[in-house]
Amino acid sequence: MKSPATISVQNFFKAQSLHSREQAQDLFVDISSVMHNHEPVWIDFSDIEFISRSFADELIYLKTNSKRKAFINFCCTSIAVQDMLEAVTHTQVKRKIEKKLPVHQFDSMESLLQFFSKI
Amino acid sequence: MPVIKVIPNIGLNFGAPLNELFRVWAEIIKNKEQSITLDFSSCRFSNPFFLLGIYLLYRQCKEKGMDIELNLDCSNEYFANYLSLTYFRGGFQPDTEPQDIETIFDSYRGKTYLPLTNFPAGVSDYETNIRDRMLEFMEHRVRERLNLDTQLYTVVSYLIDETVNNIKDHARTERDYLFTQFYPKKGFLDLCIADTGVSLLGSYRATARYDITSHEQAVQAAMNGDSTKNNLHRGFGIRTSRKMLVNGLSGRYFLLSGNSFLFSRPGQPEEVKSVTARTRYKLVRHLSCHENTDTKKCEFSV
Repeated sequence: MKSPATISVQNFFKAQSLHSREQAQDLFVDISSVMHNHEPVWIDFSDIEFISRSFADELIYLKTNSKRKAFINFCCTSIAVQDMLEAVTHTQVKRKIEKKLPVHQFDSMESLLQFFSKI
Repeated sequence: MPVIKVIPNIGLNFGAPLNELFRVWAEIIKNKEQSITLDFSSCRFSNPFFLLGIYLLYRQCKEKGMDIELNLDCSNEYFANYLSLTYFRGGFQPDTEPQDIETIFDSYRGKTYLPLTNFPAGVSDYETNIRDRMLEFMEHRVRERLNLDTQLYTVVSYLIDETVNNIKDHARTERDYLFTQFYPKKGFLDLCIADTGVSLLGSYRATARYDITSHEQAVQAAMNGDSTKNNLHRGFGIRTSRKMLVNGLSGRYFLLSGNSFLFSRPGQPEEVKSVTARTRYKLVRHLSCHENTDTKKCEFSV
């Protein structure tokens, strides 16, 4: 029996934190290259301490739009990494519209400086 | 030849750097047809919130062809040394010394500040690689210096990365600027990120969002997660950063774009503030947060 394909994110980037959409795109190219029909691939996040929202957002977006998304699995995620992946998954599905904020107009530089002196 | 003297001591109250920055800005506008000197010679104490702002204001004036110079011949030796060590004159540019990024940041081990960093905001592989490496080293220095646990490290990294990525994705600018300092006695972290790109309004206009016609509307739209990109999965960054800092860490969030800004602090109703006085030069995106280390529970306030 063949063992499932695994990509170590830490080995791939030689880093413990991931920051950009471009990094997610690079990782996904690698994921696509090791995927074969109906065989799962495991993305191993061991030793990754932080992923930015942009990285997570791009990775989830690419996975969601992949024809083989059911075979892409994330594993060994820290709590912080798992939370970020879940947060972007949630916001990609559901957009929350906030109420419009009130606007305060400063009609002079003096009133603006006065405001700054109070905060 | 007007000499605009920077006040000797910029206070640490949140609004103090803004007060001085906008005062200097108004003076520059008033004298824009003449040769101007921004005079730091009497300065004894300042902070990243003011210095990053004035640095970019100066650069923008130069780029627009104004006759403006800096006098950094400070009589206070400590302050002169601080300006030198923080690369105030041009910023540390990691793309010109890529092999030294780690060494440079390592040299600030134990210091309360990191250099004013002037780094690429583009999307090429080279620029992305430089930026990602720089963020990795910088965020680890902050984590080490502040002894942040994993949760706080995640929050601080989130705030930095989200703003840096917003600039890369939306500002249409070549450079991005970051300047940070930790105040152990006062117990806060000042984290400032800025660019001189097209502003939020310019970003919406560049993507044919002509329904957004003012800086104030642009700040509102950005707060609401209304992305300038067509893809629905983008956006949200400003709103989440602001909530994380203000609601989660009791911090203060300030975002300036064009003539409008958003200021949030705990326990106060939020407003978008708009300046109707005529202004010509703009700074875009400026984030500051404060951390209380006495309690070890981030209390991001002054």
